[in-house]
Amino acid sequence: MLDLSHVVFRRNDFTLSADCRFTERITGIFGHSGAGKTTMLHLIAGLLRPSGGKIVLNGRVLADAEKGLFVPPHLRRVGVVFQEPRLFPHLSAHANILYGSRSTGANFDEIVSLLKIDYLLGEKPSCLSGGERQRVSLARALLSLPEILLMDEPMSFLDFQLVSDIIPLLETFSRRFDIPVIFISHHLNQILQLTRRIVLLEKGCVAASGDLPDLIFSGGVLDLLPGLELSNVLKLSVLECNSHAGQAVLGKPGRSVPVLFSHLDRLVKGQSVTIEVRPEDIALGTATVESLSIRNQLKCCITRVTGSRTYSFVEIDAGFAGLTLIAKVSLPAREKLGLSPGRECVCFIKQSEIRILGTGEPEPPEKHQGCEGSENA
Amino acid sequence: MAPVFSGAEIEVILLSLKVSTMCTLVNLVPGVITGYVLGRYRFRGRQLINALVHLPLVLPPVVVGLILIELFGSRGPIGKILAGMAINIIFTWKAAVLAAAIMGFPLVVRSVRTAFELVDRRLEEAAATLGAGPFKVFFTVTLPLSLPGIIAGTLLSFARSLGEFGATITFSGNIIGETRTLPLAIYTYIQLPDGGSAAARLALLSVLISVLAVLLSEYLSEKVLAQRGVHNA
Repeated sequence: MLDLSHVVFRRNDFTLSADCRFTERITGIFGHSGAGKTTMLHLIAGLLRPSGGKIVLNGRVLADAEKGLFVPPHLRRVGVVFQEPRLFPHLSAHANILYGSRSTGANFDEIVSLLKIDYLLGEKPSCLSGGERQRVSLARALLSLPEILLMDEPMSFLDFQLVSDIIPLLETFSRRFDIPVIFISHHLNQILQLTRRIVLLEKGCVAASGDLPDLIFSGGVLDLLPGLELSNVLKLSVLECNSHAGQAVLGKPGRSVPVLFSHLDRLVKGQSVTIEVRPEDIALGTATVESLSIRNQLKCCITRVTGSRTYSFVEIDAGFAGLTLIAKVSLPAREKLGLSPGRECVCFIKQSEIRILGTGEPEPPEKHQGCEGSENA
Repeated sequence: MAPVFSGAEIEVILLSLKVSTMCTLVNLVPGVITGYVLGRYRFRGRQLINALVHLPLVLPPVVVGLILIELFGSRGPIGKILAGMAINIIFTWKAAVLAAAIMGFPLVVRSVRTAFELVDRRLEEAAATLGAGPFKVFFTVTLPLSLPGIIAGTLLSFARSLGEFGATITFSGNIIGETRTLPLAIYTYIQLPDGGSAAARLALLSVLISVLAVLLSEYLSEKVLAQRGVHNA
């Protein structure tokens, strides 16, 4: 567990003051550029010295400004994957990975194999692509067996496909090696693929921390982050693939009712798939519409509603399908339809608005909780 | 076929190579340390040390020779200490090494300092987060990455010492077989009525050795960079 207690850091006009705890296996730090995300990470890693407060990792004091205590970075066992891979250019990928390794050969083989970098071990960093470098950097950090792994926007320079490949592995590694991860990004959907536990930074302060939907519906966050681009990230299974129709049917494993129709795009029956649907791409209605081209029409129940001056976020629960979604609707629409907690409604999602973030091995089936049914007109 | 160089000329060449090699070795460790300190640390008196290190570059070499005589002469502060230990430097080949080393020292420091300044500090941070202490970071990251600059500075110092004249002749004299290095020998031959051809031969050799040193410096630097996969266009 990582504890930042009244930590203060000042540089020129910028002041970071952080008071928060990281207790989850994976926590995301989200904030706009200049919010202080990287500064916070550098304070935890020991690359910057706080002028106030205390940083404690698993009961070990890493920095205590009042007592003048400061553990240098090499003694902290805090691993960092930086935005840029920072590989040592004079060493091969293999030597880079082993630099600082505290791990066994078996771990090396496993990590290298999972990250699919075994073919490039003899290469120098300058011969590697951006994605390969970042995977080597990740392997290097993991093999040093840190007590906590900090990731500072590690996917910034990677293309969409690479991000899709790497993100599921982070979760695997975190669980497999029991290393808590703090993942920094200004792409909320990247964080939401890993965790809903979030620390929101704004202008050098911790604006809020906790489960993201809870933060949104408890109010305040929308005013703090007016430009917040929310995202519904769902992990589903490919239940059917209809190549003739060019579409796939997605659902929760073990549930008999399909929930979403998606484009077939590189999907295979049985595999798990992570999709993204933006709240503004979900429409809400009071009844299913047979004469509508949108085939994804899910009966659901409104659980929470919150809003700013111009729009509302509505949390809907399609319990039969094991889904919770957040939709964004205008204030007049909300009033007109009477969208309030407890109200039953139908959500409409166009196939083309379902974005596939990544695919993986089949997921184990969930315990069945009973289904009502869905309309797939 | 008559040999290209006479016995006396070969003696001059070997002495010059000995003095230059010794001078390069003498300068290496202090040059790297001074370059590192000046390149990496900001402290009070840094500018003064920087100025002192660079002084031989701007002072007339004869003045440097005179200062060395004052310091290492029998009445000089260092000379007295050395005399107490029965060590005499002045007017020996060691004096030639010392004079050439001091004249070449700024070249080593400048090159090394720039090399250390150019090492990406973020790589050192990354090494630290991987558990490497300052010592390991220096020897496994900083030093290898500065290598092209250190090689360049060292070979530049070698070439410079090969051509050192003013401070050497002032501090160590022009003694055959002891302190008469290539430039001193060329100067001496020029003074002689029939020394023109010998002077020309040695001058040509000086040019050749210097060019080779510079080429070697370039080659080694490029080789180090090529090992990292960095190719110059």
